[in-house]
Amino acid sequence: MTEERAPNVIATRISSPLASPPQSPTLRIDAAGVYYRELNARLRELVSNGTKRIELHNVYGQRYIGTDLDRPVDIEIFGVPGNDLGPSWMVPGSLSTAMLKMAVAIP
Amino acid sequence: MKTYLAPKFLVRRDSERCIQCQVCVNQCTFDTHYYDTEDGEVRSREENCVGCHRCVLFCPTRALTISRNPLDYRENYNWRPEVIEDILKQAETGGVLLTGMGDDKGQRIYWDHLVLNASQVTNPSIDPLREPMELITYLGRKPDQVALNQVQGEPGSFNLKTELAPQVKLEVPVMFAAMSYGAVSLNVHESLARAATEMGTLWNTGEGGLHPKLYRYGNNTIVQVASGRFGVHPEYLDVAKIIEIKIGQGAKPGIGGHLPGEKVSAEVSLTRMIPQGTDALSPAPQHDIYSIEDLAQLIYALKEATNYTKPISVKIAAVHNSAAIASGMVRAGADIIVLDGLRGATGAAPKIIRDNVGIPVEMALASVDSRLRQEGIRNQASIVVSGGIRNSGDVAKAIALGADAVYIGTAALVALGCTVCQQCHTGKCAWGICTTDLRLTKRVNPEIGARRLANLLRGWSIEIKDILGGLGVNAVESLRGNRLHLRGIGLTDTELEILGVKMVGS
Repeated sequence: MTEERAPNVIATRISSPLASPPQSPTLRIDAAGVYYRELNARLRELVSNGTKRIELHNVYGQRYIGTDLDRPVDIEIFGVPGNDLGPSWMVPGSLSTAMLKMAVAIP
Repeated sequence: MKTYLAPKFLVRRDSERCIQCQVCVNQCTFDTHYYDTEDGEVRSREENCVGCHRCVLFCPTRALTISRNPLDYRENYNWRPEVIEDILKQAETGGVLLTGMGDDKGQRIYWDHLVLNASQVTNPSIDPLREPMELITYLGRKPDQVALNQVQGEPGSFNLKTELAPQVKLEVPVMFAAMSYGAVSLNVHESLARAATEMGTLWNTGEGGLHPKLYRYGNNTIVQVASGRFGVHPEYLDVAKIIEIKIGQGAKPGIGGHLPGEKVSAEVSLTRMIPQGTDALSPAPQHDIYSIEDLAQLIYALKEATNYTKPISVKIAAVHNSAAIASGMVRAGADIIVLDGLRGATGAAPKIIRDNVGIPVEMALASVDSRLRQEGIRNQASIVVSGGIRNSGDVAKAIALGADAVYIGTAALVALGCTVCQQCHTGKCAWGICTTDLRLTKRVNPEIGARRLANLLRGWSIEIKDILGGLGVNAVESLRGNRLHLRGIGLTDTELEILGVKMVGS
């Protein structure tokens, strides 16, 4: 897994009322070949450290992305996420109370 | 339409003892007693009596006696009174017959056909009053093997290298079964929570969510994620000790649940996360589980959501192929398997399902335990059984058959005053247990309720220690799965084979 600061230009992003200001730094994660458990552990650590914006690249079927995140964060996913994305299973049919906002973009 | 149903019970009021105080009128929630203002006298409408004994126990002069109506039909082994009366009820209403509590039919109760051993002469029994007796049980996945690390610079001293899955410690191997807020009252929940905390065991929220007032008992709480997903949110999962996925229930295998809108009060609405006054429908299946792989997905979603800090339990009703299902559940990642048997109770179920679907938990337990042993995966999950556990003898027999712990539901409610009158589905429980009517729920005082429940568990744990001492062992761990301590009485060869026990005398 590699991390680097992303350039200021962001491909696709849906703004969320909970989202951070656009100038906050974005963390970029290359998820190629990373098992979901490892990926989630990394996300958990980053979000608890106060990271507000994360880009996941080369997502390829990883399940449960961001399931345990409980703080406002914008995550952009590039690629194809697997089942059980985010906390939506906790609030059936509604994301209204979810703390997490995700934008999924297939490049 | 005139009813053709005769009253089930007769109410006898001793006119010499009755002081016309109307306590019975106020206590009865089924309108059996009423005050006739013209005659200035308390009278009864016997057809309403359900035999719950609330009036009898609260009558200050003991003027009341309730007895079965001795009205006899012509003898008929096939067309028994209950069969006739059920047909009459349906002819008058055209609906599904609903009922509460567990199966009351005469299917064989295997606990009554199993007896325990005791030490005589050749091996000493142990006196639990003089020697320590261990009831501590750990629920959760156990490792296949453990590896140790030599501590550097300290010869002979080791620490554990193997990373253990989360374990939950029980002081008594008896937990309170899932009963949801909405089905039972908040005072009942609080009684269970306080008693579980006091006795070092766990209680289960059922699928109706956890009231904010009870979050402080989180360390002794099992939270349920059921097909309706009521009240499930991150804090609910985080506060619990164990998360239980409810697939089925012994009283109504294959059937969902329905909490009528009238019971969804402001508080219930808040806890269940649904609008006030709307019906809470729990679908029959979990709509995202159609295979073992789907179950694995939910188990791991919950493990991810709680960062692998708590065991995930999966509860199923005991059915014909429980053993194969249980094997799949363990392989799907369940840390605890709950088997709920034919006699498991409910707040409301179609009577025909309750009395005809599912198998006795003793058989399910024996076959699941044997199967998991054969496959070499018994250590990967704890087994909890429920559905008709009545006393500490049943607990000891369940443990000897292979259970790690048991759930008690009906027994716990009986401790709070329930007389198993099977009217839970009416929401009119005169004992204030299975209702959300605020006038009735205050009949259960959480402080007294907790004391009664804790007393029950204390009594049972002393009895279990006595049984263990008699067997000549000093830990419940030595009884677990030890079927040589059991013998069967009055059972066929096939039954003995499935139970894995020998006949008495052999």
